[in-house]
Amino acid sequence: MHQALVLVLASLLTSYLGIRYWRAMLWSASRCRLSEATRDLGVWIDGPQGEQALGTICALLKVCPKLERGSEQKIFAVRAYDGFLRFLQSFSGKPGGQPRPWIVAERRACAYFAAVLLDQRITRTTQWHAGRVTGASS
Amino acid sequence: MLGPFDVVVWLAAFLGEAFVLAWAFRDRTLLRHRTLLVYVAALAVDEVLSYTILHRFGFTSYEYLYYYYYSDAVLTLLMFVAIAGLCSHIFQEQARSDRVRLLAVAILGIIVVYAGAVTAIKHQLLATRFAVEFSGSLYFAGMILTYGVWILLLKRRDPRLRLVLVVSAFGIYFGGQTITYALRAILPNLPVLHYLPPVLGAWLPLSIAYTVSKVSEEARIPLEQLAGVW
Repeated sequence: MHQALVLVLASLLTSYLGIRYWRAMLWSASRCRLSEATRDLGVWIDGPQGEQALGTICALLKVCPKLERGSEQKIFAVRAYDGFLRFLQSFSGKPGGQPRPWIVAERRACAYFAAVLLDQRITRTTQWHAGRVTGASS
Repeated sequence: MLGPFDVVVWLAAFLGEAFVLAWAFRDRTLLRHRTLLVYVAALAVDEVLSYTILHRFGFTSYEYLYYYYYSDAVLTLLMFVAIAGLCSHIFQEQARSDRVRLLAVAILGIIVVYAGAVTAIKHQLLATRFAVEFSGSLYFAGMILTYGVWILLLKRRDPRLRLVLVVSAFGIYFGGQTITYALRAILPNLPVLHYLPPVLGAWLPLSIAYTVSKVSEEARIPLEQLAGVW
């Protein structure tokens, strides 16, 4: 009985802090500035319906050549979190059909996070391509 | 016997700890968190020692069992000291009154002195059932304490992002360990119990490594970004 109570309390506190940790990570990652190549995406994310940008950004990520390691896991994690938020959104809308502002903000952060990954991928590809062109010409 | 999973997790944890210590030479702002660095250094030494003892005596030996619980108790004490260091940073940030400061330091001091006294007096029992219960209680106390530190941290509208990430990482670690000990008491044969402690052991240094390398000391997070789910 005592251990079951400890288990419940520990699970609640750990999941509470886990969500806070994740939100802080997402927020810190989404503070990176986007380059010229993806700035329009940033404008789209900040505008109305910006929370729905993740799908398109993930499609763009698929067509962009991948030179780095480990980004797939990040994308997977962000998509899973966005899916969870969409699930919450379908249940917890305001009476007028408006989604909760914190869910919208969180989904925008997910989209921005993916945009930062896309931006990094484009930068790497461009640098790699520039290196090859320079190597070939010299 | 160590499997590939254990070796990979052990290596990840050790590299994370070495990275944090190496990073402290590069980023001098980290020297403000001396107690945290001492704790990470102790973790790194413990990784090497535990691996050596495990390699020499085996997983089921008394030597390893004794070392595991003894070092775990000592490391938990050092972790409390690290949390006290984080607490002092939060107090400095918020210019808290001396009375609140004293109360927090007294609570931490009691836990450290109690745990230290028990470790010193009953060290001959630390490889027995008592050690398991003692470690479980320390983790539970740590979890509650970290949650208290977290509440203190949120008293400011824009807490430092580094502190937010480190305190919540400690909270997740303590909470995870408490869950493991509680599950061990309720369902001792649960297979996941083999994987949880090493994963949690690697979680803390890796998350600290991420925080110190990716988040600047000056970065702050607006409170509304953290709140909202509940």
